[in-house]
Amino acid sequence: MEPRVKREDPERVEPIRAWETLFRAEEAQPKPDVATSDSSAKNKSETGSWDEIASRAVRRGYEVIEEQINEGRKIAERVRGYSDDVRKANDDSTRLIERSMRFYTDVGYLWFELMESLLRNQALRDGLRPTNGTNGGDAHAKNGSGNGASGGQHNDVEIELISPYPTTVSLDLRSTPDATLTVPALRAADDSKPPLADIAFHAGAARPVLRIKIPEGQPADTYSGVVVDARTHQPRGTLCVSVRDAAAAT
Amino acid sequence: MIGGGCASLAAAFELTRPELKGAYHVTVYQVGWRLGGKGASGRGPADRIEEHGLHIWLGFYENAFRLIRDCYKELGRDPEKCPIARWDDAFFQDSHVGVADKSGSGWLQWTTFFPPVDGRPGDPLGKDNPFTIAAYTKQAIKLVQALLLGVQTRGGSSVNSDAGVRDAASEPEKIVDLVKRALKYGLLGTTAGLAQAATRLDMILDSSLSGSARSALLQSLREITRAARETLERLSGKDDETRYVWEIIDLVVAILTGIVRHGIVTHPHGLDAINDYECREWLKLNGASESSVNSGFVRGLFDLAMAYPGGDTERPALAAGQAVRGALRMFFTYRGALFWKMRAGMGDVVFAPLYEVLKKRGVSFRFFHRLENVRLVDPSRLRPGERRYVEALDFDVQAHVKSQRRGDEVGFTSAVEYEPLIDVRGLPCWPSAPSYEQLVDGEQVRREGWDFESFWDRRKVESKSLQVGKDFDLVVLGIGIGAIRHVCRELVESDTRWRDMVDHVQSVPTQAFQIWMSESMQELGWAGPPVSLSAFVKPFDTWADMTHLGEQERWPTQPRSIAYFCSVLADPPLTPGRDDKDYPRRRKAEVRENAIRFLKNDVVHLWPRASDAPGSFRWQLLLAPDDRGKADTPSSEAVFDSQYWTANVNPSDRYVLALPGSIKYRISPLDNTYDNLTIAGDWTACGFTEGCVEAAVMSGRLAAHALAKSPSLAAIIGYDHP
Repeated sequence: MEPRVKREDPERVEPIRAWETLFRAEEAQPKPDVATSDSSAKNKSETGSWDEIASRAVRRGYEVIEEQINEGRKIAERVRGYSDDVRKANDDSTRLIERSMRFYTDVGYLWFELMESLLRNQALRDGLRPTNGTNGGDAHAKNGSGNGASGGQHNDVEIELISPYPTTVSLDLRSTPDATLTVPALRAADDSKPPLADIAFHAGAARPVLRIKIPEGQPADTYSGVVVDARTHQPRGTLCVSVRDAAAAT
Repeated sequence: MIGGGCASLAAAFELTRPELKGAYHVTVYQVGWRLGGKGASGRGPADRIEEHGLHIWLGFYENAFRLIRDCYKELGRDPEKCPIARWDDAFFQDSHVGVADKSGSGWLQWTTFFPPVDGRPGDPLGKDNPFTIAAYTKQAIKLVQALLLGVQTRGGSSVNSDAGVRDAASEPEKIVDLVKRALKYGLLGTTAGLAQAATRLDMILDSSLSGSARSALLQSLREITRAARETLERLSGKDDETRYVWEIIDLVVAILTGIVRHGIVTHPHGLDAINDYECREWLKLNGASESSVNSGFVRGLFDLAMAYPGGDTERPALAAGQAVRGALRMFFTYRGALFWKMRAGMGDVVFAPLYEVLKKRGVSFRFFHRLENVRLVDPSRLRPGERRYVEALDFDVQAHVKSQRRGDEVGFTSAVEYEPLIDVRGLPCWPSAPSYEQLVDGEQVRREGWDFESFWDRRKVESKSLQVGKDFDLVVLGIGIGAIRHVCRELVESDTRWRDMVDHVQSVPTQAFQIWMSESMQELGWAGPPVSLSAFVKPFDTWADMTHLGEQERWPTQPRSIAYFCSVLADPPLTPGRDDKDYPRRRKAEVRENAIRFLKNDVVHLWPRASDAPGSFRWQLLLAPDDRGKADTPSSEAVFDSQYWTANVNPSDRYVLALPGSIKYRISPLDNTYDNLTIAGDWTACGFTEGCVEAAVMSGRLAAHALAKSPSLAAIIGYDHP
């Protein structure tokens, strides 16, 4: 009598639910063709190094922002064209254009920032390490700006702060500031608070200087915004300024 | 294979791929005369399509589309001879999604245009791979745009975002309007607030972070939520459009808060970690307002998941983790369009091609076989270390095919097979009734009204037992969860996991009706595009305009509109016994009454001109298959009897629910407790634990992997997903 046919035990019986699955390299996704063995482990080995993943993610992030800004620009141009052709340009239409641009930039910035926040997370980096030791040794995150994702390194910029209040500045540039940078006014979540407008980049002796002036009477809050390349209008990073109440600080 | 639904056929398709070089001989055992399970359809009078319910494929059904694309490719139909020769003849994109919302004493219908996305479902995952954080974020932007700029109320002048941009050159007012709308929401301060929260999100993601940092972020999110809710309450009742958008924003913030609070991003179980929470309770726990959790948007998602245990629409319930996963997959990973509609019945465009391809590959089909019992080996006969296994499968044979001798066939003999398909203008289709002329004593069976698909009609011509090692080696059990209790009695009695599964993984009956009308939707007063709309008044909360199907049917007077409605159907207080043969008829009569009442009282909110007086419906709109002209059509509700309706109450036809606290009781097709048995169906632990075609196909592919290690788990798209 022939032995009964039995199933082999599977390698696992549950899906991988960790969020690292969303960080798999695009190129590593399997083709839907038949494979003769479970290649999930193999797939992990194709995830790529942290730097590669981060680099790809940042590239995609920029595409996201660009798409947003392009959307805003398209609409703004059409409104402007309509205003020029049909009516005299007036304050209202100019305001509409500015605000629509800002709206789109904000949304793009928001999502890019969210994505970068996720990528900066150590736990997620750890999740990218191979679980079976199949990924060699370079899946660990590297600090610094080499491939641009880890952020938070801005040794190339000198910050000059003039403030009557205790203030914390967080500048996050994604590339060496070789371009001419500009910072639109920083805003708080609470729209009733005045924006921080006296912020600018200047050429310094050895490196660029970011000068921030907090005016008297500025309400305590966190003000944030995006750093923009003055020539291309592309975002180059983020700036976050937290102004604390002088009394609270003491 | 027991059962011929999506899951079983997906498994059969995988096991008979040419790459496996004929390693598996597959026989499909099917009750009645047609394949498809809950997706089965048939051609009735006038060749009209008659479905179990409304079937729309979502743009994230990667595995299901891959299967059907491979199937059509292999089928190689001639476009000159067959009207649906390729997969993209069979499906078309539908980007308009509607949600109904109560406003005062009436109903508002929101129609949102979801922008097309690169690629098509089932494409190889290359540059358009939606399963990356970058793609999620990119898609999130499109979603924000769609929701903020693309929403359209019935009768409103606003247009969808794409169309708005397209039309802009010629109609500058629209662009100004578009910008004003963007500013309207942008100026509410949300983006800046959310941005601030997002910049701090990395803090909380760091597992080494102190509790105070977590509190700080939660505080920040709470402030945003409170501001959103205050704004929402201020605007509520004054401006429906702003309220609609704010409700969505409120929900998004609540989800973000919940993800942070429950540490989901770093949790090894991902979103499963919150599956014991009810979705709406979880949203409220994380700051969502009462108004938001009762919004049309949320109700629409519940309707889509038929998330009403026992069919009680006052008691919605959906596991929070699966609900969030479902929403993420639906809105963020679709390709092409959010919805894809079929050009003909689901049986015609999905199960007929699968049947043909599988036949060509040598798969055998045994129709008219009703499984009655799965028998396990007696433990006393097991050798040391041997696991229990399925020893026999007991069937009732409902009919014999002519030229096939009684007791003649089993396995791979040359027994005559039933030919199940009919030709409708070149398209192979399933009929709504069996081909009696192929059956022994077929005319008598027809005359006596044997209902082959009724669980309560137990008539048979023979009993048959298949024996392991002789008639089969391995079993794929691909029947609905509602039937497991009845046919796996031994398993349920002896195995606590199986007992827990049938106790906790509940299902619900559904109801549906279809009407064919002599006036177009525009003439009936529907001002929007052809739409699929949910969250409408019960008992029929979901409506889809299916007018496009008319060209596949053969009516004496061509319908100018076709509408499908569906929803859950309440369970009776007492489960009917199997001897209650009249039960299906009573439930069908109940659905008829529901439909008539709905048409008289409620459909007017969608089609204002379908009624000429309060509480009435213009019955003369309905076309009967033998209508020769509108003038002869009766004007009483009796004409409804010429339309199609169904009560899906058979255990195997019941729709599986994703109830809070139930997901953990599902068993995986990969489970190897019984080493010659695997299970397949959207009710299994297949990665996407919600009733749908995609879950069924995923489970079928997992079942194939369990038997043959093919396809690889990594090739089952979306199986490994938070």
